[in-house]
Amino acid sequence: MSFEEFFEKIRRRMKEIFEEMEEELSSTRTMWSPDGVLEPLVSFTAYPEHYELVVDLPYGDLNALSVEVRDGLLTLRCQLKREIRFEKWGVFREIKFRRYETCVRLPPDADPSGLRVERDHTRNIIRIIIPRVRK
Amino acid sequence: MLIQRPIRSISLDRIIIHEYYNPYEEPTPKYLVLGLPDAGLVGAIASRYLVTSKNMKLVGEIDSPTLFPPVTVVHKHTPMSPIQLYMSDDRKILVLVSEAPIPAPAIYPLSYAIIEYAREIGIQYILSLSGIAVPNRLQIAKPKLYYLASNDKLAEEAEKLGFNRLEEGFIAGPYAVIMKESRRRNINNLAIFSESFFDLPDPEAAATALTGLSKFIGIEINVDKLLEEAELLKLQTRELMRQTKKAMTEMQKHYEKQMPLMYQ
Repeated sequence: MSFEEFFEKIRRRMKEIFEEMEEELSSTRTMWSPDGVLEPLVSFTAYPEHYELVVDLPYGDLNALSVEVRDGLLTLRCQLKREIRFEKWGVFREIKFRRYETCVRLPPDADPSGLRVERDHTRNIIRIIIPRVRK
Repeated sequence: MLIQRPIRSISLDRIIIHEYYNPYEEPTPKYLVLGLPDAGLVGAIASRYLVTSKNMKLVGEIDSPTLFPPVTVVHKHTPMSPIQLYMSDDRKILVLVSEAPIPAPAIYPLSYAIIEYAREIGIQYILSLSGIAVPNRLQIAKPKLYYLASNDKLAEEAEKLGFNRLEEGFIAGPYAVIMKESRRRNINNLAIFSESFFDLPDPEAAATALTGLSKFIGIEINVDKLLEEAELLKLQTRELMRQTKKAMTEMQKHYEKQMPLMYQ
C-alpha cells in the first residue's frame, strides 16, 4: 500500500467516525430550546442528479421562510404562524415556541447555486432541491 | 393512579406482560391491534388515536429489564412502561401502543411474546398497522392501502374490502417477524400498510390505515379529529420520529426500499 493509499484510507475512516458521532449526537440532542426555537425534522435523500431535503414545519409560516447556504452549510429559518404555547411539555411547564431553525451540512458535490425550494402550504412541508455537480 | 399492582405478570423469554384485567372473562378479546412506531409513525399515531377516540381502558403493560431502556413514562401521575395495552368497553379489541421505538435486540423476543400472548388469551386476529414508505409521498393526496396476510383466508377477506395486495418486497422490524411466524403457526395476522413518509410523522397515512382497520373490524372510526390535529401531532412527535428513524436504521428498515433477488 502506497503512502497516498494509506492516507486516503485513514481519511475515509476519520470521515466515517465523524459521521457516526454526528448521527449519534443528532439522535440524542433535544429538538427544542426554552427560548422558543424548534428544530424541524429533515428527511435527506441523495439521488444521482440531485439532493432532496424534505422539511416538516407544522404551524410554520412558509411565507416567513429563509434558506441560505454558506460554506456548504445550509441554514433554514421559519417563523411560526403564531406563538404556540403548551401548558405541559413532557415534564416541563409553560413552554412557548416562535420559530424553527436548523443547519444541515451539505455534501461536497452539492451545487447551491441551483437550489430550489418548493412549498406545500397545505401540509406545511417544504422540499429543497439541490443539484449535484457532475465530475 | 390509573393502575396499581398487576393481577398477573407473565414472563415470555425476557419479556414481561403485566395484566390489570382478566383476559379470560367473557367476552374474550377477538382483535389485537398493534401500533408500534415505524415508518411515518403510522402505527403509533393510529393506535393512540384509536385508544383516545374510543376511550379505551389501560389494561396492561409490557416491559423487559434486559431488552428495553430503563424508561418510565408518566401519565396522570402514574408511572408505567412505554408499551401499554388498552381494551375497548365491549372487550372486543385490545390495542398495543408503544410510546418508544423498539430496540433492535428486542424485536424477536417481543414479536414472539406478542404471538404467544395472543394465542394464550385466545385472540383471533392480530392486526398490524404500519406505514410503507414511498419516495413521492409529497405528491400523493390520498395514500393507498396495502395488505399482507398470514394465510389465504385472511387475504381473501382483505381483497373483498378493496385493499391492495403487497406482492413482492421486503418488510423489516417487529411486524415482519410477527407476520412470518404467524404464517408458520397458522395464526391470523393481517398487516395494513398505508403509503407514508419514511422519517416524517404522517397523520394522514395513519388516518388511512385506521379507515382500513375500521372496514376490517366493522367498527366506525371517525378520523376527522385526527386530521384536524395533524399539525399538533406532527409537532409533538418529532422526537419520537427521530428516535424511531435511528431504530429503523438498526433494524435494517432500508431493506424495504430494495428489490428481492427472487422477484418474478
